Amino acid sequence: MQDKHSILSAIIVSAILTIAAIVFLTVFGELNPAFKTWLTNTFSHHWIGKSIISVLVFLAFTPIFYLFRLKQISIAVLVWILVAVANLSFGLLLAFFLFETFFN
Amino acid sequence: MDWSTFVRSMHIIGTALGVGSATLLEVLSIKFSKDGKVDIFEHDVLRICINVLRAGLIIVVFSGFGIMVLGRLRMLGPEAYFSPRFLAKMAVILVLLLVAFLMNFRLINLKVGSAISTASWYAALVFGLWRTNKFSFFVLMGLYLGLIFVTYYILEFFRSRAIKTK
Amino acid sequence: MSYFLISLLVSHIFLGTLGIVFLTGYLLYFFREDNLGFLKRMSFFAFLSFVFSWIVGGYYYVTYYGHAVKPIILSGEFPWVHKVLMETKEHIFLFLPFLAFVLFIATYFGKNIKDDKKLAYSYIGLCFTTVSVALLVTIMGMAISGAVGK
Repeated sequence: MQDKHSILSAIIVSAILTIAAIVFLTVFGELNPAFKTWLTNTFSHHWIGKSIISVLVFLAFTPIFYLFRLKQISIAVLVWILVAVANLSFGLLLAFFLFETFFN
Repeated sequence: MDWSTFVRSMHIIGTALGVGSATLLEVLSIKFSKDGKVDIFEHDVLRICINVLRAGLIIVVFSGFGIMVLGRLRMLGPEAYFSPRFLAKMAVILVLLLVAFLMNFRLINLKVGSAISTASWYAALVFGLWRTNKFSFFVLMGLYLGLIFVTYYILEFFRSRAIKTK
Repeated sequence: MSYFLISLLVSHIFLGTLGIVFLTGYLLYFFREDNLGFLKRMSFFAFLSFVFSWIVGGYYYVTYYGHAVKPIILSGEFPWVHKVLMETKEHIFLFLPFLAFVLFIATYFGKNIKDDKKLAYSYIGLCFTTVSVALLVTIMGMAISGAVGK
């Protein structure tokens, strides 16, 4: 049971970081054309690059956080943090592209 | 049979199921609540109506996307898909989905919710058929709101009549 | 558009909508008795639906949208539909497989969700967020398709 808690905690925290990484890759890619070009050259398309990197981030962080044995934070709290991060990230990306389109 | 005929047929079938079961739900709810309680058989009948309504909604949504894809291939564009009529119909469907969710979790008064749900089905039907209307989006939303009020008071009238004739 | 690309577009929409239907089923039946197996299946199929929608939609986007559809929208009446809605959508969509995966794993390991109200409501919150994001992505997709005119 404790092991399941650790696995679940690791997966949730990794998902939180993955969503944050997606937002970072997106905003940084728009503000730094060289980075977007690097993504395109490396992965044939910038969006494929973001997809692959997000999967790699998730897969890399899950075992790392599993080893940390995150027992102190309850699953419910972690899930709510994930919910908050997902909603904030959505709002952030929408606001960013609105700003870029109409105010830049 | 071509794809256009197929998806339009499915859309009409879904609408018929949705409008029909929404109407029947109201009629049967009023009938069953006459004696002040809903027994197991009556509960099962209402549950069947709800499941048919959900099936209708799923068919309508999927076939609606099918119609949209066909329209996209013909490049009908903003004239069709950003028209007041289409936007009003989509707004009605969104309200329908939201109210269905709220009713399921008892987050809305059930009488109000069922009136909105029934009115939404009829509004979506009429907006879908009424191709010649030239009203703006806000006028159509106003008509929709009016329909909700009318539906609520009609249902209330029949509910109170059912109680009186108990 | 070739039949292959039409199939990809239709599959993308169908699978994405299917994911929403599965998660809606999860929400609607969450508080029923002895339904853990049902919730596991719904969350698993939702995750699979979003993953496959990601793959087929991604292929269509990378091979066709950029050179054939985007210029039409940008030169039309509503260029902001691409600049705001499509740009947002293509990145927001990346959240969905991870959110659905967390929900599936959490449900799979969640033997005591009925006993723990706080945990149960957190799962509902996660499912509701995933459905909302997916629904908004769908609406954006409709607006994008709608902006492609002659």
